[in-house]
Amino acid sequence: MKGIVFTEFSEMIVGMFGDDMLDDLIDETKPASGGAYTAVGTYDHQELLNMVVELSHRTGIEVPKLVHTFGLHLGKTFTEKFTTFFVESGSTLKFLRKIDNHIHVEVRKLYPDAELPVFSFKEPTDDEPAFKLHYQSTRGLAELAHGLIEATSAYYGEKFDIKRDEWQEGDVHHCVFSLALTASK
Amino acid sequence: MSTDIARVTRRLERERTARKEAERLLDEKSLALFDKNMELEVLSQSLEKLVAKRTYEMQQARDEALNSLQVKSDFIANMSHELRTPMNGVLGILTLLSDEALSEQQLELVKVALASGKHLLGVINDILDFSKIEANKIEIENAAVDVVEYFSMVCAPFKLQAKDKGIDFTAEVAAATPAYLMFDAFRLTQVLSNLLSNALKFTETGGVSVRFAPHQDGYRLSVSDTGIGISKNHLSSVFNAFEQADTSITRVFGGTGLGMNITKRIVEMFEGAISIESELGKGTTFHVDVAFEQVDIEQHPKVNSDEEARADLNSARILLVEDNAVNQLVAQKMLANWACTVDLAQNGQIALDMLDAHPYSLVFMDLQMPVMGGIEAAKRIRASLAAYSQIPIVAMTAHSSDEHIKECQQAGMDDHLSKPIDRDRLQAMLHKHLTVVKQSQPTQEHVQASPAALSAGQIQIHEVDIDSSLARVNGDWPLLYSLLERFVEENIGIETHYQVLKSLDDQKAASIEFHRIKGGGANLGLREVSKLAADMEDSIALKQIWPCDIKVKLLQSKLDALKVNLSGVDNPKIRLGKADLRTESDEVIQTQMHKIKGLINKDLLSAETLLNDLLTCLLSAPMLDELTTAQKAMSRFDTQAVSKSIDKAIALLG
Repeated sequence: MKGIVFTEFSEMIVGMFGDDMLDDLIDETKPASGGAYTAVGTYDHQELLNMVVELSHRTGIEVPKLVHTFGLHLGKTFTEKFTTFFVESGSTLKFLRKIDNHIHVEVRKLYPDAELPVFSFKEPTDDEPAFKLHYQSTRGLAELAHGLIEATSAYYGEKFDIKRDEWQEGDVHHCVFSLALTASK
Repeated sequence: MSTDIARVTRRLERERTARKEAERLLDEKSLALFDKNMELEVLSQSLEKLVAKRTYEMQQARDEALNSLQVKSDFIANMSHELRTPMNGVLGILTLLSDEALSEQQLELVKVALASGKHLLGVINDILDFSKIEANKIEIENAAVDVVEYFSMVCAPFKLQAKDKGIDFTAEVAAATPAYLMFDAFRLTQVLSNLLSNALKFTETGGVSVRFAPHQDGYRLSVSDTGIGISKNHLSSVFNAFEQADTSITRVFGGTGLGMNITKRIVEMFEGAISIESELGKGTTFHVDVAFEQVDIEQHPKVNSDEEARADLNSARILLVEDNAVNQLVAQKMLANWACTVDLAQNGQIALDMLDAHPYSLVFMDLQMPVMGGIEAAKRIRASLAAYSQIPIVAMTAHSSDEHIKECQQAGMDDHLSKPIDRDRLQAMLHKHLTVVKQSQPTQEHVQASPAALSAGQIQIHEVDIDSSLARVNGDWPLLYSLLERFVEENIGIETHYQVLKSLDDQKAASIEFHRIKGGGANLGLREVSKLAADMEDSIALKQIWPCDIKVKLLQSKLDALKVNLSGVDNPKIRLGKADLRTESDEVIQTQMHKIKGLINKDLLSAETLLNDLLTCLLSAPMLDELTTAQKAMSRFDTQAVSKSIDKAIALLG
């Protein structure tokens, strides 16, 4: 998993719970990397999951809730760090349509070793008026994706009613997000 | 607190590790970036090399294509020359034959042959024009043209054709048209002739009309007929090369299918446009829209009228320079129609000698001749100090490409007559140039100080039949003397030459050599020389046997004897000039000789001009002798011998 996810996770922990909490999580989970994360590095995603679980223990907040919150935080960071992608897209749905065939293509150019989830989509029809985004990944981070989508729509000032339909096929987690626009700027 | 310090220490340690890791990763990335950059550079270099190689290959291919185009166009130009030369013979002889007393049937046959020949010539010209246009070798050369006169001239032959065919013909230049316009008359004539000959070809009843009038910003030339017309389907292909409206047309009416394409392309070169209106069975109108410029009449006064010019023809003396016997015959006979005197020169050198000896009004000059070609001769005439340096020279050649015409102009020739010689164009040429001569008559006065012709029996040279040879040159003794002198000069080394050819076993060259001596000797009244040469030619050409050396020795001794005998007779050329010789100081003569010496290896022609000028000065006998030797060496282009003689001549002055 890319270093930026870890550094942003660390930032969020420090922001929400203070430096000591981050120290405690690292001390407790003893990650192989020693917790010395950098944005340009790549680290085992299990280290992140371990920390989330430990955080849940320590705060009593459920893991999905934590991951969702982290998705919101990471999404906001993305809109600040990679503004170009958002500006050129112009709306949430346009942005989501571009993840696979544009944004992830560019990410791979910079980080050939990046392991990225797959996002396919289905345009709304008369029978199915919602836009459908299909997430597939071995990581099972649909909750993170959900947070990211919400952060994105917040950037564009749009509001969606988002429904999730999840299942597992072997190692691969599937999640279909159905997005129905409820408000826009 | 201690826990706090331990915490902070670990935190610091973590940050340090993270920084080092980030630096390592960045190093790794930048190294990878550098490697990729190098790869890109190598790739771009190899791409550049590849581009350079491809570009080079394409240039090669382009050069080859251009070269083969050049070869093609040269081939066509040469082929057209090769085709036109015999056509000159055929058409010329047929024209002459049609003037003879023939039975009606014979006359009819000759006419058909003549018409077919002219048609063939037209086809050859079409192909040549087409290939020249293809090779972009045609340039439009505009000149001021009297519009009314132009149209009446160009239409005249078509008017006659229409009359023969029993149809009407009208030509009209609108009153609003300026008297003079700037255009390339030759090319417009091609356009007009093609449109008119088509109109006449396809019209059986009714008539053909031509109209030239101002139209929009320029002028419109319209050619209308009441002929068979062109169907709508075929209108678009009328201007395509090698296509006629209908292949059956080719069978019925003939033609190359190039005419309309050439016409269109010429109109395009005029930056004009051509369009058609036609209805099947009713007739066709071609419109040519052009933007010719108007000319101020004051700047282009008309030359003399035909009437004035015609009067001159009878008194004119014309020099025809031509080596081909058939062409000589044709041109001489045609010129004989106008009762002017025609003298013949076999090559440029003889022409120069004859110009020295006689006043001529006009020179017709072939280009390709042995000894000295037409270009060289024209240059020498123009460079000479004699009065004839301004004589009109008309190139007469089967080479009619623009380059050849340009070369003729550069050599100082005034005009160009393309072979086969057309009687009307020949006449036009005579009128044009003899009028000019008349205007410049006074400059010719001192040239006419030529000796009176000698009658037979006044001169005798051993073994020379002076009477017959004098008759052949119209009693022109100085000319005969110079021809004899030249003949001896040319052939004096015959024995050595013969031995060389024999050792090489070059029977062909030897046969040609003896053939030349045979012909030349006979013309000059050297019967024995001619007969000996004829014997030897026969032996080689017919029996493939080298004649015995005694015969060659005999020929050599006859030529040696002739040289001695000739020197025993007063040289009429030198005697002729004596009265006009001017006196110059030794210093002037010496300076001039040094100048000549300096020029020999740089500009032999100018050196010769200076030397000829020097020979018009009063000189001591040994000096004259050396300089004459130098002059002869010059005509052989033997620069070493010239240098030697000039050195000797300089030494004579001390």
